[in-house]
Amino acid sequence: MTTDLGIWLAVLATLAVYSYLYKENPVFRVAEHLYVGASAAHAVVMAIGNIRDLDVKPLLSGRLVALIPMVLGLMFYARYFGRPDIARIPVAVVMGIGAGTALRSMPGASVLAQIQATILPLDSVNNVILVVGVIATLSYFLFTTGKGRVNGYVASVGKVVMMVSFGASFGATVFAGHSLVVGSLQLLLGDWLHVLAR
Amino acid sequence: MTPRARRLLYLLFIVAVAAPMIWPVHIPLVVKPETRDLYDRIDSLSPGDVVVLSSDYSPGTASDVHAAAVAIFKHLMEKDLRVISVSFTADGPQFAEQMLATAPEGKEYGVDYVDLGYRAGGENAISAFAQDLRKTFPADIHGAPVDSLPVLAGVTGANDFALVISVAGGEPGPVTWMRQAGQPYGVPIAGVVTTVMVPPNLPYYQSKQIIALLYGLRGAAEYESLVNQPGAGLAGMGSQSAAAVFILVSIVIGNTLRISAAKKGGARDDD
Amino acid sequence: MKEITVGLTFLVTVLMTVEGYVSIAPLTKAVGELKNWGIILSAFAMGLAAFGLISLHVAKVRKRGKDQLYSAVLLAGFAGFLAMGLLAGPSSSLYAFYYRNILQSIGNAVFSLLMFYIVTAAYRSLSINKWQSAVILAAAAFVMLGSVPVGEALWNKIPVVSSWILKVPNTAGQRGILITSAIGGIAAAVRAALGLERSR
Repeated sequence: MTTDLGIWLAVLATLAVYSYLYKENPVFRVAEHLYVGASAAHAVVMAIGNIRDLDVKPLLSGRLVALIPMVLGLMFYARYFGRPDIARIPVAVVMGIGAGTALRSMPGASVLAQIQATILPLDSVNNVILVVGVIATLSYFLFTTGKGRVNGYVASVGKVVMMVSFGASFGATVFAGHSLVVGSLQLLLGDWLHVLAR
Repeated sequence: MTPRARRLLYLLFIVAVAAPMIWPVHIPLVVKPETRDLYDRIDSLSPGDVVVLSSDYSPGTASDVHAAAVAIFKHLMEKDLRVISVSFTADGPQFAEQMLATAPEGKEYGVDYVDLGYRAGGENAISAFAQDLRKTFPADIHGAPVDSLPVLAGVTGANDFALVISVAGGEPGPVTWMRQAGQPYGVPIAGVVTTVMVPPNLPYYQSKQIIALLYGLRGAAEYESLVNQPGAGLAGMGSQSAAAVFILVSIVIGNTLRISAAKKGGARDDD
Repeated sequence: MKEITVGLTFLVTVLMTVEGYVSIAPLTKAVGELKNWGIILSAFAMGLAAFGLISLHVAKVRKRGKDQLYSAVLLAGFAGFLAMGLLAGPSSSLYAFYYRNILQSIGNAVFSLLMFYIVTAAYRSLSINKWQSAVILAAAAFVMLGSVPVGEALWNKIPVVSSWILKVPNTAGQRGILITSAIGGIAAAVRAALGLERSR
């Protein structure tokens, strides 16, 4: 068993969370709330670092244009002082940046390039399935036109293709928590109790 | 399901996952082409080429992708490449520091690798970084001006990157990097993603917009076997096998009991 | 006020979009500045979430309700990490020690509980009562076994089938979904730029 203080802290924190597997209890809730508070503080610390490096330092070195994002950023907090209308101004800028970022990149990268990659020679079963599958899935999402016989049949094929996709996603999701369990067990059995094979 | 049955199920699961860790079972691993593509690409780079390693994951996803980041970083150091570590999630820099702490002897911070830290804003921040590295990061994570760091000599933005490797627990991920750096500047983008994110990223690998894709802990194990550096990835494969079999056996047993109860016409006894 | 915010969003969107397709030096410089402002504003917005959280829990402690102990723990954790981060810095060894041994280990354990829910669901809820669920579970089973070494040991065709499922039907389905959602994202961006989003 280790004498490292850090590992003991980590082990106590991990066991506090895993006590939930027996039943919900105050120790688990303390650990949960500690995590939420610490995470929020970490985000604030990192945010302050960004503001200091990109805004405060340039402002102090004489770059007056840095005043604009500073004022806009502080406007976010106007809602807590009874002026939610002022808080909408920085939101408008952020929305514009988000919309512009999407419009400059998505049409090429996520639409045209993906359509281009679907234009394949129909000389193999896999290519046929890929092309038919994409067209069928797209036709499933045509909600503005009525589903006639042909369109309805194609959309049904799309539904089956999506089911296989969701099955594959579920198969992948199963491992979502597994590596985390392995991580916790490596801490408990390896770093703490030293029972793992080297 | 009664609380007692639920606790027994959890205990059996923990035993199933822990057993291969205590008594390892070595089953050969076949390396996927998606993993080998990254290995081959890094192998083809020349000493001094600049590689960006973006750590964009959190405590909830680190166990899936961090091991791959460590194995890849070791490979980059072996090839004498210049590594720029950045993060676009708040927790990223902490994991980046843990990864950079494994730098081999003889490699120097500021000369061979650098940690620039974190920038908020996700996709917009990546776009800003790709356009102008020095404007987005005037200093590294320790406050040293980037102009004073030899590792960043001649590097201004994405035009100077030989490769970007996005190690992601979610968004921003390799697709985001592809949209903001790969597509506009022609930089090759590789991804290390959690297993959950593999299915939605595969269309971009198939279209060659992403040149390589590592699948979570499995990808880490494969990369560790390629660079001959056993780590958490290979160590976790036995447990992952046990977990998969456990889940499938649970599905079979659950459905069998359900079907037999339906045939008998009574309520199923979960105990 | 609505005209100002709509006009601002429209202007910023147009500037950023045009710069993505047309290379004009003054425009590129202006957009580069805008992108940096975006980073700064995102950082300010991160504080908003924390502000709301802290206000809520301070109120709970003041009211001396039954959960005040947990709120006090949350506030103590917040204060402790904030003080360490601001005084020692997030890249200091002190901060890294507490981050790794408290925040990281609790986060790892909390999210790992998901795996136990999946175990319970696998036993109780994943019933194969229709052909649709059989398709989903069959795909899941092959992908699961194909991702682990034991799958290859059981039957050497499992990784082949798993890889085929991921690279052919899964890619087809996911591609259809992502093209559709990308078109939806473009439409939402245009609506936002034109001030048609109701969230204003």
